[in-house]
Amino acid sequence: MSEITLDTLKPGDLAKITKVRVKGHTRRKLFDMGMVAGSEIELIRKAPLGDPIEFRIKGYNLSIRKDEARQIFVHII
Amino acid sequence: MKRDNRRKMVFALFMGFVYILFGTIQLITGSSKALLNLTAPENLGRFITDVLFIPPDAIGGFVLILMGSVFIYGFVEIHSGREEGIAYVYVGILLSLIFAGIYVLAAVGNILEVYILKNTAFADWSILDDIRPEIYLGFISLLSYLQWKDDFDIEND
Amino acid sequence: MENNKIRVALAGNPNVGKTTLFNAITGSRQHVGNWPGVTVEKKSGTKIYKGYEIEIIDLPGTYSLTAYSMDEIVARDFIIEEKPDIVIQIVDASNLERNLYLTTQLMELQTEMIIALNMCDLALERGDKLYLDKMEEILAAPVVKTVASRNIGIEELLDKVIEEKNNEQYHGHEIGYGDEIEGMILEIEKVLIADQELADRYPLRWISIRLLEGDMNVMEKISKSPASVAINDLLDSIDQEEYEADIADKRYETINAIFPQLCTRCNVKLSKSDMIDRVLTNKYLGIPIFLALMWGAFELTFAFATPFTGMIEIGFTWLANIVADSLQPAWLASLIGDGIIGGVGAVLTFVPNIFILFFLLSLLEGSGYLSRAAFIMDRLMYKIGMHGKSFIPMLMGFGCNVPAIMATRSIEDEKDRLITILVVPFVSCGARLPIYILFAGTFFGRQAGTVVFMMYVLGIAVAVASAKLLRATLVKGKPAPFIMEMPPYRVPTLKTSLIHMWDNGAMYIKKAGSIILLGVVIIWLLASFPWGIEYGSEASYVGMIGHIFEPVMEPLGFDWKITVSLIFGFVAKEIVVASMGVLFGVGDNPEALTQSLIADPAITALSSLSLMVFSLLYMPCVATLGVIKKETGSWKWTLFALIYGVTIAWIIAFIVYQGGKLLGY
Repeated sequence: MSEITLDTLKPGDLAKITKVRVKGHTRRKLFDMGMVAGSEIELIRKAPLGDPIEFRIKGYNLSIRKDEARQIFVHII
Repeated sequence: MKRDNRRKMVFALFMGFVYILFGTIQLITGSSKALLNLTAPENLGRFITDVLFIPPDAIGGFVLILMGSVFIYGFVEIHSGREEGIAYVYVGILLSLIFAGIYVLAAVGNILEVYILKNTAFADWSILDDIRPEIYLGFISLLSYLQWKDDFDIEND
Repeated sequence: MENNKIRVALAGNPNVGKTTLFNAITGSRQHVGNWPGVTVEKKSGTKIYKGYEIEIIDLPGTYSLTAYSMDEIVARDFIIEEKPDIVIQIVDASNLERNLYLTTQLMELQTEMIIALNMCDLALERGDKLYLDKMEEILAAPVVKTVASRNIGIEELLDKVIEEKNNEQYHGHEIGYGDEIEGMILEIEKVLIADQELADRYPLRWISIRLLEGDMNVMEKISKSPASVAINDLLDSIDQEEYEADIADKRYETINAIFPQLCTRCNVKLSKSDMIDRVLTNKYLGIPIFLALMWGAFELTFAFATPFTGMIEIGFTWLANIVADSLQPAWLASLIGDGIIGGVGAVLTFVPNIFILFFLLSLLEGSGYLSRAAFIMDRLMYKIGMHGKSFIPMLMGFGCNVPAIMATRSIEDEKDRLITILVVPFVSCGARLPIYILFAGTFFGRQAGTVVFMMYVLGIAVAVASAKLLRATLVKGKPAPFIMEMPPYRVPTLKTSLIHMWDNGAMYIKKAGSIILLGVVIIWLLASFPWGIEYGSEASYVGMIGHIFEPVMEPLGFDWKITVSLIFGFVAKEIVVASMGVLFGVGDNPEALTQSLIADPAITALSSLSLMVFSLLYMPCVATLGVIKKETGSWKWTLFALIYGVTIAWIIAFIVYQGGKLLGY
């Protein structure tokens, strides 16, 4: 199964996180918000200007910028 | 299509049309003195200001057009069979209630100016000056909201 | 400590109804202040219940306790250092999975915990099945159902608090992190236990886990311990990033394992909230709707606040007259009448605006729309080196800079917040409008509207440019990442909004009040002395200062009179107009003032434009400086705001005036 990054998903796509490559402080925060390997994640929508992106994870909605989404790897399920 | 959705669709079309029409008049009369004079020929001008209570207010007109667009968006969505269209009707009603509320409170503010502060700048003010489409159209929205309240009920904290 | 006193800390994620629960328990018996040494707001209150005095401390809302933000450090330091008797975690029943993550961390702090399962009604309504018995058993903590917005479950919760307090014995569960990590934890614990003092003070298992996760804050706590060298050696031997990920994984794994036992049929369908968001963040409608709502908020603020502002003005004028008529000697009457009552009155006329803006802000926050506003605007803000969360505070600045600066509290990142605080004063507030109206109206005739509009645009441009400049120099770095929950939309509770409005409004009056009073008295002294001169005249100190600064201000096209009125504008910018009335000897007759402005050869259309630019930018008024001091907690930055403002104003007014002259105006 091919790995893609989170920012390439389309609205409605459901995926599973495989690896979080974000570094430093932000990495910690993403973990705390449920962005850990194995979590299921769905892209809900993009902001009107295209960035940030809103996801559904762990039963709630979370938005992050493309910068971070680009460093999170997933495969579509 | 559910019967109630059909009614919402018709409602959205009607509200969308009225909001955009009134908004356009408000925007045009508000943004240009010349155009205000154009609409002023005795009958039409009087109809706009004294019967429909549409003030010349460009930004207000923009907001009315926007609310109309939300309703029309809802109409289009429901018409093409998408359930989400209901959300547009709901938000349209919500916005129209919010703006009705704003102008009712603004009128309350003016009433205070007149009766408590006896501000001379408000000497020839009358309550009719504060009636605007946002208020009476908001009243229509209120009635339909009460009618469809259960369909729309969002979670209460 | 006496036995009938109980200290309870409220912990929980943001947006779970924590504030509502806090208000429901304490009612009006609240105290709002700051946590020592930081600018995080601290709220506490007491409740007398069944003979017990229960002190409730509302900890900042956090998703975790990992020292990511000041909020998290404050919350966990309170729990481990101050050791409250009981910690209540408020858990959103409709979003158990993520809320339990904080629970797993609270368990490691080894404190007595009670879970308040809030918003049960929502969860049950949508068909979730919650198993409370199982929850109590697995989490080893009492669980109480509450609906804080309707006062349901509050008494049961307080009963549980008393019961737990009298039930001294601690029981708790912990998460297992798997053989490798557990092995490391044990090793670190072995080293730490040698330090008796440390072992008495903190739960060692918690310290060990935090160290493995590379927590700098905890590292500092043990840095003085003799064990720290050995610890550092141990930590050097591991791949910290790997451990960090594994530990978070394990927590969520544990939650995944227990979650199906606590709740079934949870989180299945998209909610109404998602439907609404489709509209409000719609690609085409999202931004226009947002702008329309903000415009509506301002319409409301000004239309509704005006009569109250009028009442305050009338009240203060009446008071000042009484003082002037009845007090002797004359200088005292002038100090209290002109100086204190006049000055304070001028600043207080903004109180209705401030209260309404705070009320509306709280409605935005309570409804969940505030997060969407940040979501919608982040792209734009990011481009100018700011965070999406900075947008609403800057927007509020158009009403009044004071609540705008206080609203920056919602920005977690210190740098993002500092930049926002420093650029908000360039946003043209309502008090500057009278200056534009007077001068643009007098000198620009039909173009007056355009000129006023340009002032607003200039203010925004300077704010944006300053943000970029600060990012490149003093406050280096990128804006903090945007990692934000989009909470479900809710109908905000009136009670919470009113309390929020009152707390912040009162805080403005109290904290800014003392600085305002000081500023007002200084201005009065300068305007009234030396002894025997007419108030604010050429012979007064302020007149002399005007003359001293005249050479500096002359390149901007200002004579000493304008300089003096600008000095008065420090109290509140709209006083510039009033003091010109005094200096031109026309009092508050606008017609006469217009005439004498036109008659004065020193004032031309160009110099009036330069004056408008200068008054837009030159310095935050005294009330704004007061809140800048309060919110940054630093005199250095407050002084910076002052000097930076004056410098920028001088430069731009210079360009306008000299450039205009070169072009032949």
